[in-house]
Amino acid sequence: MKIGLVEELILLAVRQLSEESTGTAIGEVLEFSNHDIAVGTLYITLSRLEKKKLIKGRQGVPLPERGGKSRRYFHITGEGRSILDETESLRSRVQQFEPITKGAQ
Amino acid sequence: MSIKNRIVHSQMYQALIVDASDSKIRRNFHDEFLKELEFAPDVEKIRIYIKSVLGLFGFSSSMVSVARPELRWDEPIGIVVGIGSLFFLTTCIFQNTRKFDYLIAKFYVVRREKLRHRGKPVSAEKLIYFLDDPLTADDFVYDLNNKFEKRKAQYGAGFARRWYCWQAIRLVMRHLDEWIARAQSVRDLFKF
Repeated sequence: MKIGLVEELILLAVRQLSEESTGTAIGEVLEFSNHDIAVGTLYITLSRLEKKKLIKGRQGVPLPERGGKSRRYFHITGEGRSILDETESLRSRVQQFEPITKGAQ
Repeated sequence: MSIKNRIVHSQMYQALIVDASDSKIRRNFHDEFLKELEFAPDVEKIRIYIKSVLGLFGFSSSMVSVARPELRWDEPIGIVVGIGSLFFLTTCIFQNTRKFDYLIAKFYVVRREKLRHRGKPVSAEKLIYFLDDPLTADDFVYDLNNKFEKRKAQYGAGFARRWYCWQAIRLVMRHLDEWIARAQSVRDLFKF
């Protein structure tokens, strides 16, 4: 399964935050890493990742400060972890590649 | 009242209404203005009656000119009808009553009031609830509202409102994009 850059970043953020990964928290992580994405993009990507079964969401308890509405928490699934490992290994393989220079021959 | 005076009058009225920060004071000004209209001086009333009669004459003349196109402009009846029609047209264009001033002022005030009280755009919020995944819509709107408040404090209400609407439009565009990408043919676009 192929994932895009935004999907990968959000997946990484979900893995980093573990149990505390709400949409707001993920947005803050991305903002902290200087990759500010639109709120709409974030939530659409989260729904897409959920449909791909790379993350799983659960509703929290209703909160009075949010007018009785609950937060949605996300956690990474086994498939999500394996995809992330795969992309990380792919990146490291690309970084390990040494170009053959003309002078060396 | 001339056009210039009318504009000054309406501007004064809107300045009084808009600059009054307290809603009670604002309502008082509004009531005063209405009273002024109701208890207009007699001279003013007579002026309005004369204008009404002349207006009626003008209106009937213009109706006659429409119904009887064979009337000649060099005949006495034709001249009377012509003058009446012209009078009707001019009164239509240059309405000159205080009621009209009030309407102009009210229009400005309502518009200014709308500009003044600027919260989040409710229609955009409804659009998001309609389009977005119901599971994440609450979180999405909550985040948007928080960011809206920050932007409002930083850049002003107008900017924040435009930003909010733009987020909703982006959501629509994303949905459209997915809808088009999902379709294999033109017929698929209309399968739901």
